[in-house]
Amino acid sequence: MAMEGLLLRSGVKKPVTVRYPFEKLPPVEGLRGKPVWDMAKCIGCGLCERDCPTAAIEMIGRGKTAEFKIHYDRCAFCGQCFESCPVDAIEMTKQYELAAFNHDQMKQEYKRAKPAEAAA
Amino acid sequence: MAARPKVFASLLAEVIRKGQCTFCGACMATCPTFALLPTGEEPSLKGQCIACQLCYQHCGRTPEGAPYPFEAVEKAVFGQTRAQEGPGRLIGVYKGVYAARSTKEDILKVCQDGGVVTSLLAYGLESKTIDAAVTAGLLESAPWKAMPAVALTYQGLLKTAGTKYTASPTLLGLMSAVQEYYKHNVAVVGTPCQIQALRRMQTSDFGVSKVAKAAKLAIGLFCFEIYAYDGLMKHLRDTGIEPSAVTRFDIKKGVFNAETSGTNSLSAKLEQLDHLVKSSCRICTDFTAELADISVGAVGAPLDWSFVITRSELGEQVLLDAEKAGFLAVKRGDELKPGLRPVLRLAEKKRERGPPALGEAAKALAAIG
Repeated sequence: MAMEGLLLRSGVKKPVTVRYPFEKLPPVEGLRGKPVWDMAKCIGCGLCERDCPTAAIEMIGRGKTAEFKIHYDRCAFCGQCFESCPVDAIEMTKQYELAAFNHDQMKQEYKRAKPAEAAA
Repeated sequence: MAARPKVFASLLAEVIRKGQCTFCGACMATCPTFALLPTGEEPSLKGQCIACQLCYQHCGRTPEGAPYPFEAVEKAVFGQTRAQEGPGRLIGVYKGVYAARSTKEDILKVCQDGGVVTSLLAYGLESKTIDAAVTAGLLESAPWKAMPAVALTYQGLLKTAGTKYTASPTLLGLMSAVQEYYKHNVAVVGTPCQIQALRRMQTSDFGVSKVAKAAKLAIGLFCFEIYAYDGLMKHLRDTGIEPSAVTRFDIKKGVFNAETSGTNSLSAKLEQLDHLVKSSCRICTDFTAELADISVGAVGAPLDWSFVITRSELGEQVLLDAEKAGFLAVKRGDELKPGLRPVLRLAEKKRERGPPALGEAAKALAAIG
């Protein structure tokens, strides 16, 4: 008899899921979404590149002039780069809808602001 | 722009080998690969360096030959620079001066003077303003060897009370509190050089250390000079005192006292111990920990009380809240005797002893003001 009761009850209850692409739930606390680099804070130590388990981080140059090419298609969203960064230049955002049609679209470059632009 | 990166070797050449290292622990705390470890009273490279330059940039004694940028740091930390006239010239930015004493019997039993630092930390831990306190504790394997300690409880705090007159890599304790205990509201107790390095870590243009962001409250100690560990221990042994038998070190009225549990104790004029002073102290000009949120010391307060200078909003708040919560008894205004005068005198003395250029500048300022 227990089974029927359960069925009956779930039949009249509102669903707990939402109709996803049209409705979205707010991301939960502690969700590890797309990691984003803040180039103003980055000191170019290369620790994120070294520690990345999936080699998703490609650094061009070293030090304060270093730039990044991030292969988000390889990223496992483990948060290791965020943990490793000594100056909090990496933020784990709440963005989770990162699907794309090909690998090229999943690459992103982070460039340094040119000195002239920074002054302007 | 293709200057060679300032890695640990630069630090070694420009600071450590020149005897300017204060052994504050900033380089070891900021190193993202934990490659630097203390060896004796110096940091040394034991792991893999990735040439991130943080140890050099966050050292309180770099760049070579340049004075510490007090003005820039004051602006970043307090939002204002010190007054060029009056007491502010010698003791830095401040909000109020007080004398305070702990009201807790068990703290008064183990403390150095008024037990103010321990009580402030005890209040902070109890009220959850902070979740850990980094202080100088003692290493068990060697007598009176100062090592940073992370206190999470009242009992833990009591163990670390009292002044040690040797260097402690306190900021290494901050690193431990953040990376090992995972605490992000930490109070740091340190000498002026340690607070300077902490502020450098928090305000550096190069990059702000993640570790230093966790230090929410900086409690500074008045410090004129400290002693090199090996030298002090050797001196004690030479005068027939076993360091492990010493129960308490103290400096009062220009006399260094080492009390022991037995009958023989050392009382020496400070001039006699001058050769034991750590070389890095001789270029320091900061007596009252001018960049801390609260500075605490014995000078200027009645016997068994501590003199307190509050500098930031937070520092003032914590002191008053601790008084309200019954952790501290506070004297202010006219009750404050002997007051600011001896503090200023010592601050002036330390400034004059510092780098010649800075001493001259202070004298020139004094002539104008």
